[in-house]
Amino acid sequence: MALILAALAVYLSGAGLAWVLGRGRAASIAGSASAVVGGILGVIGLGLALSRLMDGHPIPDLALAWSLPGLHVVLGLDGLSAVFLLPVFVLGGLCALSGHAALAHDPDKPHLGAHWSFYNLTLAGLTLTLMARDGLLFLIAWEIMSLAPFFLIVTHDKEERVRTAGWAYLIASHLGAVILALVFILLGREAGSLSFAAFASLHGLSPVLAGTIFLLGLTGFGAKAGFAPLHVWLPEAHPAAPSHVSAFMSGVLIKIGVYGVMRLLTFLGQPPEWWSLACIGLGLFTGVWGILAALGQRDIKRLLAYSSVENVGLILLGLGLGLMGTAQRLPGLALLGYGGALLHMLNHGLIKSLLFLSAGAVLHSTGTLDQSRLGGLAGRMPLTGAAFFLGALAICGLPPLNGFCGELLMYMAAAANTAGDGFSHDVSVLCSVAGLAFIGALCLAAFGRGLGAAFLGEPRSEAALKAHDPGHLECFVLLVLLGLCLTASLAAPSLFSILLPAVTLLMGKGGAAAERLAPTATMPLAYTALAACLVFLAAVVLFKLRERLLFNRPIRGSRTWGCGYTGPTARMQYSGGSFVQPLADQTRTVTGHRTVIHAPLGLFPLSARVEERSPERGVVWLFRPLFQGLETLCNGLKFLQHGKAHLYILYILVALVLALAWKGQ
Amino acid sequence: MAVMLHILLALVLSPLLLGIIARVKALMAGRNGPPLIQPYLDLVKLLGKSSVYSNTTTWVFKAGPLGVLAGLVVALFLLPAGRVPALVSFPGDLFLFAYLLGLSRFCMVMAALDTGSAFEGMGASREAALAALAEPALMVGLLVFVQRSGSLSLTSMFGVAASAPAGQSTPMIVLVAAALFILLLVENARIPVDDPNTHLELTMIHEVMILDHSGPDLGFLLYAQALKLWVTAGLFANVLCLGDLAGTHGSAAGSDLAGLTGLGLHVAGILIVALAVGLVESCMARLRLNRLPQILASAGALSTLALLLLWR
Repeated sequence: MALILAALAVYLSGAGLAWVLGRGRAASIAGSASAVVGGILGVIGLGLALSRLMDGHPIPDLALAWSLPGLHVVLGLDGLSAVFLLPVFVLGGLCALSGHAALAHDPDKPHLGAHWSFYNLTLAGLTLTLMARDGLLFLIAWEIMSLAPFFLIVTHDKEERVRTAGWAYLIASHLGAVILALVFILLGREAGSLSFAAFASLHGLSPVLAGTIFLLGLTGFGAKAGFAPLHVWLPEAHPAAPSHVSAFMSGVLIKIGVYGVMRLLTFLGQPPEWWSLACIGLGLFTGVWGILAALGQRDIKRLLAYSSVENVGLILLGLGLGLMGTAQRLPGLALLGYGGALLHMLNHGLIKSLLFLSAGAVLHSTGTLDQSRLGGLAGRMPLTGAAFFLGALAICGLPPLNGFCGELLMYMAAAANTAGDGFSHDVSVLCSVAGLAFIGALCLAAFGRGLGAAFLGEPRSEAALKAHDPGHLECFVLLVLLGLCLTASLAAPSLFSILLPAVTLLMGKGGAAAERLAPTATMPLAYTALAACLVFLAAVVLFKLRERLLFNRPIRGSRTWGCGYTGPTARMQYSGGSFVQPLADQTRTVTGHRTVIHAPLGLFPLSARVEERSPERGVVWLFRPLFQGLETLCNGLKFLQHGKAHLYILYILVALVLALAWKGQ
Repeated sequence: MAVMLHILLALVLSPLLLGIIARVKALMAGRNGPPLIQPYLDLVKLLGKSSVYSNTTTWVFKAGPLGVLAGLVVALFLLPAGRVPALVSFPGDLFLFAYLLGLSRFCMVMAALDTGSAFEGMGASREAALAALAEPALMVGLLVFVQRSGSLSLTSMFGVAASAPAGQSTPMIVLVAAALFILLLVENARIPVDDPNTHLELTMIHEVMILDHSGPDLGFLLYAQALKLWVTAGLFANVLCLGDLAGTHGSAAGSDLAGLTGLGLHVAGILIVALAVGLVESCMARLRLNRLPQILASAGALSTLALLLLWR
């Protein structure tokens, strides 16, 4: 734990140092270096801690003497914290490296000192949130961790779009925080203290109260994680933020919401079955909603953001299946569900960072992320193209890469649930298996769009024609992430054993069985790794065979077969919008996706245009009416705010008299 | 031994399926048709040619056929043949099986998009759209057997018909088999979903995606097409528990002879599937594109119905 505290100290001092060094290059070096050094320290510390935890030795909490009343600084490190800290340290460092290089030639010349200061502060806040063992400390750390990214999102604050996105993020995360405060107040009132130890020893919560706390927690943490329909800030904030920040937010930050839900569940004791159904239902809803919305996105980063929503939905689905196991006392099911959720959390962090950083390289090189202005990048930026291709393969959950591992465990949990019977069981089994398959197939279409339109084919603009790979440092980070994805796939059983302490914790009373049942998860993962090797082997053999066959034969280049048409241009390619058109049309009642065609008119048409519109129904149907209603309500109260000082004094007087009357009772 | 024999048979015999389909169609149309071994001749010819690559394409296009075929070969390793277990089998392998087919689809779609041709983009788009409905139907169909046997492995999933009274599982198996047959037609781009013989690239799905491949690459894809037909037909034969019709249940489960007879029946089943596909192709026309979601939805409905019968 000492090393992790050292990492925390490095982050905090990095934040201070970057701030002092001002807006130049020095601040950027200091800030990103501290994120990297902190990350390395943290990873080493985590390695030591995890090896202890895996041997079954808990790590004692650390209580700091503190003078503030009500605030106990108690830090702890258990399996659950460790699993979520891992991406903080690894991706925090890698994204900082990439960001350092990317921001150096940012045309807007943002204030680098402030940027890196808040970046390190975010990392420190995250570390603190994950280690906090006291309600108030948790909320303070949560606030730091929520507020600091706001300044990262609005790095390019000259653009209106960016300011709106930052605003949406701020509102979403603070509404969430308010609800979380309520959660901790309720828990604290029952336990008589705000310490997590007291929460954990809570017994006999009334089912209504426990249910209320669970639902409030799901909402409050869901605002951060992006459970639909609370996800609406994600597709705004991710494209607005610099790419390394989006990578970090998507890979790490939103998962903290999932951590919160999991942590909360360890306090609430034996879950009733409806909690698991709620999680499964909400997870599937989020997943399907996210990926359907992703289909309609022209902006690559918006597409990636919606895909993050989908993946958070999958993680929640895994959590729900695990809860189902706990509720029905089926440890095997619980192990697969929780294990799948956590494994997918880690893998998604790696893959999504890879994808966002590749998207960042595209933006940097071409100045746009609009798929209909790109194309042909795979040949012009080979490394970025390969990174995005493999990232897309992985995010679709396809073997031989790591995205499949978590999904496999979730599928197994979803399908293996043969024990219970009754309506809820049948519906949950059918919906989760069919839903996983549906989401997986839609993911292929969504990324077929992103990858196909932006990276394959002919370049559709001058900028795309001149695209090139980013600098050495960014390429290095992409390669490291690719390597990590591959390792995570081939070493999936070992990765799962790291998760085991966390899974044991989540399984509660049934946790004792986790160690014994672990092979039910590691064995399929080992076979999957074997199959991955076989796929690679088969591909290599076929490659050699083709090379052999083509040896000494003339290989010609030619133009693409145009079915007889001899003057094709890049604009005639199948666009991203047309690629997803069949699916987008079939689902438009739900997604509101529209293609508006301004057809050429008359004998000598001057122009023709096709417009693709994909409104966010969560905003249109829910939040806009909600906030408009709120505004109307507040406008109605305006008569109280008239600006007359003497009446304000009267208000104060009345309020004091009322308070006196209340006190006197 | 039987395991390796199964793999070998699949690798060697799969192009024959395409030959059978073509022959059945020819006979039904009153022609003599090409010889049964025509696909082998095509393969040899294609592998002996040199390649032409479009200047638009990148490494993605060249990697495509490798990924398509590699995914299918490994999927074949996961497939049992009646009583003969799969080469690689473990709990959860059915999901890997389905996702390996997904991998080969991904590679096919990306290679098609890499040519920058509107036609190939169109085929890729349709392939992706059909998959979105086919995938859940396939998974639910397999889920029926998972729930019935309590096993997550393809090898041990299908063989439990013996323990349950035959009358109970028959309707269920028929429903799943019907669903799987529809999916087989979709996955392999046969009529009524796709017609490889039209002269208009505009109307096709699979054939249009491979327009720009040539030489060994096209050979790989042709072979992959045959292998995919074998693998999906093999799954169909497993669902019908054809292998179980051989030896007596329970007793001599491991005996070589029963295994080999089972394998023989399995292979015969696959050949019959090819025959059936040929007959369907002869009797039906291609459906309009906007009708395809309906037949896919009906496959999903059949699978779900089977599941409901099981849970009843």
